[in-house]
This record gives sequence, C-alpha cells and structure tokens, in this order.
Amino acid sequence: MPSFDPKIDEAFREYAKLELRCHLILSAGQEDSPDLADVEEQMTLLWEKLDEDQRQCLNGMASDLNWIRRHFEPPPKGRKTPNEVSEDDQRELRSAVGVNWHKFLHFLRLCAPLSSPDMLAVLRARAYTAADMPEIGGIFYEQVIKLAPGSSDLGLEALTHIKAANPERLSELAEEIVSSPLRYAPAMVAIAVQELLNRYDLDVPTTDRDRYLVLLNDVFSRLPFEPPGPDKMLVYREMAFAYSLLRDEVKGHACIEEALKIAPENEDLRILKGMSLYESDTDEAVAIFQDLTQKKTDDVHPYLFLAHYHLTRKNFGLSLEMSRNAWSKTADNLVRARLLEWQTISLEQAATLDPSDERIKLNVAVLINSVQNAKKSDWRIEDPNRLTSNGFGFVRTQPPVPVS
Amino acid sequence: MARIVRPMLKDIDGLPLIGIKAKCLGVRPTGPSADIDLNPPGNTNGNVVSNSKGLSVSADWRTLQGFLIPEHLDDGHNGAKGKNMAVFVHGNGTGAFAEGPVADGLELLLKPGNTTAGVIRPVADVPLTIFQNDLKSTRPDWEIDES
Repeated sequence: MPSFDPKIDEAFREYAKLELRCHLILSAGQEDSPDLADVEEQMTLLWEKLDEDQRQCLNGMASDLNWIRRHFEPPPKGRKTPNEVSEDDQRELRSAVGVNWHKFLHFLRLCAPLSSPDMLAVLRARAYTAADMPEIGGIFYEQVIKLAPGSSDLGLEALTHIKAANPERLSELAEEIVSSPLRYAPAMVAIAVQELLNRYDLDVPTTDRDRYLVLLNDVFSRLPFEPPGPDKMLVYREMAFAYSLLRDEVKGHACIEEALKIAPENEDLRILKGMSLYESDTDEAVAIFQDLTQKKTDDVHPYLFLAHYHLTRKNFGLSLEMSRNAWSKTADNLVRARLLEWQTISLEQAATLDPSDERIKLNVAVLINSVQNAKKSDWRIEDPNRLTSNGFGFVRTQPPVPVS
Repeated sequence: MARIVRPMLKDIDGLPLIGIKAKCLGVRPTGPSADIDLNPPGNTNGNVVSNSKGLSVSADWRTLQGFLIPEHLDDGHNGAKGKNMAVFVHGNGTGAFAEGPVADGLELLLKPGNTTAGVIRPVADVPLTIFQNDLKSTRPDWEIDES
C-alpha cells in the first residue's frame, strides 16, 4: 500500500509539469511530434530521481488526464460500474477529504464509477488545487465547464480558479463562452464578458461595445431565473463593473441594486453604489460614504471620495482629514498622488487664513512656478524656534506636575 | 531464460516495429537520448561500446512510466497512454530477471542498483550495424504478453 504522502520536491513538480505538457500535446492530436519525444525523454531522466510513492502519484495523475482524452470514459482495465466499488474504498475516500489529497485522489480513482463525469471533474479539480497543483486543477476545471455549461455555481468556481491559475487560458475560454452564450449559464457569460473587457485600456470600440452590451443585456434578462445565492450577487457586481466600462451607468446601477437585494449590508456593493451615484446623486453617495467611514471601513474609496467631496466644497479641514485616512489605507501610488494633489490644493487656504504671512505666499508662488517649469520646488520652511514661539506647543512651557 | 519485458510499437504483422526511435526494437545511436556509447563517439560507422548502456528492458511493465505502457492497459492508476503499442516478452522466458545471455551476441545486464530494470547490450564491442542486426534478429522471438 502506498503512503499517499509523496515528497513534493523539484523532480516531482517538474515531472508533473511534463506530464501536463504531454497531455496537451496528445490532446492536440500531435502524437508524432518531436515535442512529445523530447518531453518523454525529459520524463525518463526525471523518473530515475523519483521514489515509489512519487511514481505512483504521478502515474495516477497521468491516468486522470487520460480520462479527459478518453472523453470521460472509464479506464479500459479499471472499474466501470458502481457495484465494483467497495464500502471500504468509499470509507477511505471520505476519510481523506481535507486530510490527504493524494490519498483522496487515489481512492477517487477507485470510486470513480459512483460519480457522474461533471462531479468527477470537479472533485479532481478541487483535489489537485488543494494538493498545490493548480495547473492540473485548472485542466479539470476546464472539463467542468465543458461537462456542466449550464451550472452557474460550478462554472463560477471553475472560472475563478482558472483566472488565478492561468489568466491567459481564461481569456481563451471567455472567447469560447461568448461565441455561444446560450450554451452557458448566464453567470459564466457575465464573467466572460467582464474578462474580455479587461483587455481594453481605455474606451471599448463601438462595434465591440454593442456586441458586449447585447450579451450583458441577455444575461441581465436571464439572471432572475437562476437560483439565488452569493454567487448571483457576485455576478451582478461583475456586471455592474462591465456596464460601467461600457458607459451604461443606468444598467450598471440596476445591477448594483439587484446585488444589494441579495446582500443589503455588503460593504463592497455599497461602495460601488456610492461610486456609481457620486455624480448623479451626490447627496445619497455622500451619505453612503459617511456611514461607511463612521463604521471605520478599511476600504480606501469612501475616504477618497469624501476627501474629494469636501475639497470641492472648500471644506479643507474635512478634506485633509479624509485624505489622511485614505492615505493610511492604501499604498497605491496613483491614489496617493491624487491625495497629495488635493492636499496641495488646500494650500490655497493657507494663504487666506494668514494673508499677512509673506513666506506662505512665497511658497505658493514657488509651487506654481515649479509645476509650470517641471522642477523641484525650493521651499522656505519655518525655523523650529519660530514655530515654538508661535505657540504650536511642541516645547513644554511648564514643568510636568508631579504625581503625588 | 529470463522473462524480459519491453513494451514497443506494434508493426502491422503484430511483431515489434524495427527502428532507431524510442519504443522500437533497436537502439537510438546518437543524439541527446542515445541508448549506447559509440567509439569513436557519435560515429555511426564505429563500434558500440559494450558497457552499461543498451536497449532498455524490464522485469514487469507495471514498473514503467505511463507513456511506455500501451493505452489499453490503463487501469486508472498506471497512466498507460502508449499509442499503437503492445507489451512484448522475449523468447517466452519465464525465468527470473537476471543477467545472462539473451541471443547470439546479446546479453542482459541489470541497471546499477536495480533488480527490475536492465539493458540488452552486445557481449563485446561490435560495429553498430552488427548490434542493430542482432537486435533485429530477435524480432520473431518477441511475443505479446500483457500478463
């Protein structure tokens, strides 16, 4: 009996990678290609470095991949019917869940006749992912999409995994999905559209925009018939992003409202709603952001938008306060640059608060000059002694009161 | 005689395919995956050195990598995916997998530290053409046996 605890070393990982490459070459029908011979040669060299447990796991993985190329037919010399599966094997399978994924995969092979192909694919996908072999998991998730195209939850799980493990492959799959949208669950079409929209840096060309809007509108009309759940909320959220990129704010907002019906207290959604309303219904957007900042949200956006809001109304103190909060919640240079820009605009108030101070006027002029000439400003900074004598309180003026 | 196993590509007559590529009855004489050493090195007109290299064989196909096992033997665990292949056993041998003569000019040598894998090599340094012909001569002695 194998240990089901293979040493996951460099040789094991490399061999698994080559096994996957082998599978992809064979899947492409290139069994006579020199590439395949080359891969097999590399595998032979690595085989000598593997111990018995490692070999067993890797050969098992190869059989799992064979199952895909055999169009989900059982192995020719393996079990084919449920009555061939013993109670003991099922017990071992259950006991391995979350404990030993290689053991789970072994007993899943023995118990395979008990599962439908789509369930077998998803179980293998999850197990390989959990066993830190996400590329192999991704291959099985692709089969999940093929085998259960109408399942929202499985489809979303698959697409989410593939996005993390192999973003380039997700783009290819997204193209496949949008080319026959009615074949797939609306949730998958929504994610596919969102994925394809991500490749545009700026505006989406009109022809593409129209195509994507048709797809999204179709998804929007089909989604109410899908079962409720957190996944549905996520889909509406993704659609809101997609509509926003396509500059259909009305539909984007409708998606956010649908999502909020499912999860009214969801912070991400409320932020999204605030952002979508900021121009058209500023008061409601500000109310949402204020509520979130009072609840000490860790998301930078409510602080950022409130900093902007107060700046536009020349509430410099509040704007600075929100800017400081926003600064502490992000390390994003683009956001921080904007915050500094807004703080700089607040300089205007410095001159109005103390119009007699020539140095402040000079510094504002220096700033304007340096921006116009794209050079560093030569700041005049107040001496420390003047600062304290002006009563800024950095120096204790009285000795501390002894505690009796 | 030792039971010597080698899965190989199957020719149309059901016997092993002769060739100088992997999975054939014959050795790859040159290149990065060469099965033998030549003297002078790389010269196919030279001699095959009778050393630890040769035509890879094993005691049991179950110990092999998946791509060396015929695909119809996939049991869901062994990864068998060899296309148009069969498991051949030499000379209807039933003896232990041990070093010794195999056929005229050929002998079995175990791989270092291994009791289930070995090579068929020339008994002495011989021209490459002789070694390939000696291997080719064994073709009728290989029988399909997937037990």
